Amino acid sequence: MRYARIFALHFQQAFALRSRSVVWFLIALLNPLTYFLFWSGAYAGNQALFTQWNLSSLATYYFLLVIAGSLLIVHIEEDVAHWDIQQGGLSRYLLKPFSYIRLKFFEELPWRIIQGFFGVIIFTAFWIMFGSFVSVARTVPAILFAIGIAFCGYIISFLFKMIVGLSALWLTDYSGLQQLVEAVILIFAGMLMPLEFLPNIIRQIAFSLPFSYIIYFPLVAFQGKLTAIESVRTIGIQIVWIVILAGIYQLLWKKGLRLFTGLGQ
Amino acid sequence: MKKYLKVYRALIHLNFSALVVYRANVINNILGSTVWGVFSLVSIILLTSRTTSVFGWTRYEILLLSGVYALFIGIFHTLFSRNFERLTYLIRLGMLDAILTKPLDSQFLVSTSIINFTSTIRILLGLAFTWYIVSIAHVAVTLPLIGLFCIGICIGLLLLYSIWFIVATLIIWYPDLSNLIEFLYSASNIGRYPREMYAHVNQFLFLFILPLTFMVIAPTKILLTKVTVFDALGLLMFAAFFFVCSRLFWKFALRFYTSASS
Repeated sequence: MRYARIFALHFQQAFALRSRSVVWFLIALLNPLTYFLFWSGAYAGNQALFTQWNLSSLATYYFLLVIAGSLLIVHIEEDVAHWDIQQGGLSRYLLKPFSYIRLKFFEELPWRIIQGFFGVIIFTAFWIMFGSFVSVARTVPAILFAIGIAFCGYIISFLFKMIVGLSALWLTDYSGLQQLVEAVILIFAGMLMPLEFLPNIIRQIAFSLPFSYIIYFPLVAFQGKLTAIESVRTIGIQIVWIVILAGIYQLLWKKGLRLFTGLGQ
Repeated sequence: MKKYLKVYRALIHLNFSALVVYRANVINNILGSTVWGVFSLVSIILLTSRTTSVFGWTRYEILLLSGVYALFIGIFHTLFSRNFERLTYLIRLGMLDAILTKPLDSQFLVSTSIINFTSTIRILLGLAFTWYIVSIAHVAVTLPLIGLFCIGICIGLLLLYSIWFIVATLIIWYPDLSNLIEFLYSASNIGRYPREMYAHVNQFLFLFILPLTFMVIAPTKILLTKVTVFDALGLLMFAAFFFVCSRLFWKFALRFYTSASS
């Protein structure tokens, strides 16, 4: 109940700043649409090269990516690294009888929900206009699996970004690492293109990293491209990543907290 | 003019001193610039890995466009983009007064105070990649062509600067929208793809996108000796139009600026 109230308070704040959310959403919208336009041209000239994918599944992938990019890519790292660690705001959290990571979880969630909602509006409009063109999972089990995969993807994304944020306890200025992480996520999560299109070796690397489980697998699950066994396997791997990342977070939190100095707070 | 050149020389000196003092910051910024420079090139290599031509552009031509874009955006980020980030803070925190009261043109001061030397990494990456593509695609590059190319890049920079400045000026009315600058970083990417690609989108939307498609495509076509009158005139006219608009819009917007002490 306490956390529900915290969530409600942060939701109010995020809703009050909804125009900022619109701009963030536009950023999340721009890249997938640009990539889709590019692929539509590439597809028109070389259809034989796109086995297992056609223009309809590509369009669905990129429109779902608009939702996934807004909903599943967490941006808590700047809050943690800059405002809490660099500026010393962490002191306020340490004095409260709440878990820091849970507070951050409920601080971030409203922003994702609001921006994801804009994505849902765009996708729905696309669906209404080009209904036959959209290829999504239509059976109840497939949709439930997809929701489960997306939920696990969000947790992986959140834990990973918290770890990136905590790196500021050692680095202080983490901006270089943050930009490296953003670029790596764009390529290996499937935000640039479906992972099948990547050269073999890069694809293998992508599947062995956690990022594909944040974006790519939820997307193909919602497209109905995963069988029940593949979905269960995906959720299993996601749980393993969640355990690993939670362990790393705990370790960094315990070790890093000793280094924190909140001068003047 | 002489006064402004003198001030700009002093700014270069000040920025270089700051660069040397905060070394850890420099390493971080170099890492960031290198990452995005490499990413923009790797991403286009990956995107074109399955195709030989897109929208009438061959793979090498698209790679060349990306190389020129990396060079172009490297120059832009070195000279201007950090200033726009700073402008949002100045407006939000009501600190623009300090600039407005100086005996210099305020647009000049807000646009040029920060020189981000670490972004020169992107210029070097762009130059190296462009040179590599030019040599493997056997593009015949002559000195007059390079001269024209440089002029094209300068006009393109003026166009992009003016568009960024107009959008950044909006923050005077909407100080909460400081993330518009982040949007501009993404929107500038429109210039690294063929213009024909955007012809498929809604015509109204295409009109908004169109100016951004001139800034890099025209100089690239100069290198490829494929530049048309439409490309050259389009670049020149959009740059002039948007620059005049940015001046007028800034002067108009300042009437609505209110600082903490105003």
